[in-house]
Amino acid sequence: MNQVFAVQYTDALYFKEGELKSKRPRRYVAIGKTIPRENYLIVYFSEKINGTPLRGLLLPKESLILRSTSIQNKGQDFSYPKKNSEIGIYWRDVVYFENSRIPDNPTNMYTEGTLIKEGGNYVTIKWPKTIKIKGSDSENHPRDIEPESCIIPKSLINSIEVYENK
Amino acid sequence: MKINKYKKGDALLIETLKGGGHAITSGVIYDISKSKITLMHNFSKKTVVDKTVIFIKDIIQSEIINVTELNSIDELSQQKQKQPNRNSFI
Repeated sequence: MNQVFAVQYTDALYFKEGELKSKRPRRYVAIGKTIPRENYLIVYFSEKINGTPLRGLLLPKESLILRSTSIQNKGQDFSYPKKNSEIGIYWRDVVYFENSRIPDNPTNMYTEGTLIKEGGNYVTIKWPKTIKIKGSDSENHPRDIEPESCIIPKSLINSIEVYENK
Repeated sequence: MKINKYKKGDALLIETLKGGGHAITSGVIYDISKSKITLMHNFSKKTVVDKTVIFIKDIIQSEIINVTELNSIDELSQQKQKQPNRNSFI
């Protein structure tokens, strides 16, 4: 039997109008068997009898909260603009899968909006517009709410672009 | 299937056969009743993000398991090396 692990990770958060209460990204725990890949970790909750993962998560390695590594220092070296600047952020998201449809990679994301806070390990964007980037296609995200703000852990950020520096 | 030995917070590995589907599910007991067990797989403090409801009638076998906190990616490589060669048991 493969070992079952408790894997701590962080993820972006979206808030509807007036809901921005948390000032930090949350710490999540995913419990399951694991398959390590070069840039991400598959944590699966259920599997077929032949061992094929059925349902679980793809966690970018930068999202993992581990005691022994400094993976989460990524994203700390960018030069962030001042508060109220308009910026665009390219980052990688955690992906949920089911029915054994395991994606090849975590989803590439792009968020544009007003930088209202740059914390120690996260940024807060007001009125964010976020898209999932799938090859040459894109898809709005999230689809069910129009967020007033979002928090993105810096460790998930690949690059930033400053459109209007205040 | 006797489930009264299990309680909330126990980590379980459950094998189920339901319709044409034969699967194995792992998680921590979030809720338990006479007819079903709810395993949680993904959570943040008191918020459960992913869970599975399993009906007792569908359970073939179950066992309490140990869950290891992942502290480094290297632990995953070490687990791979520790797995026995199945052929050694033939």
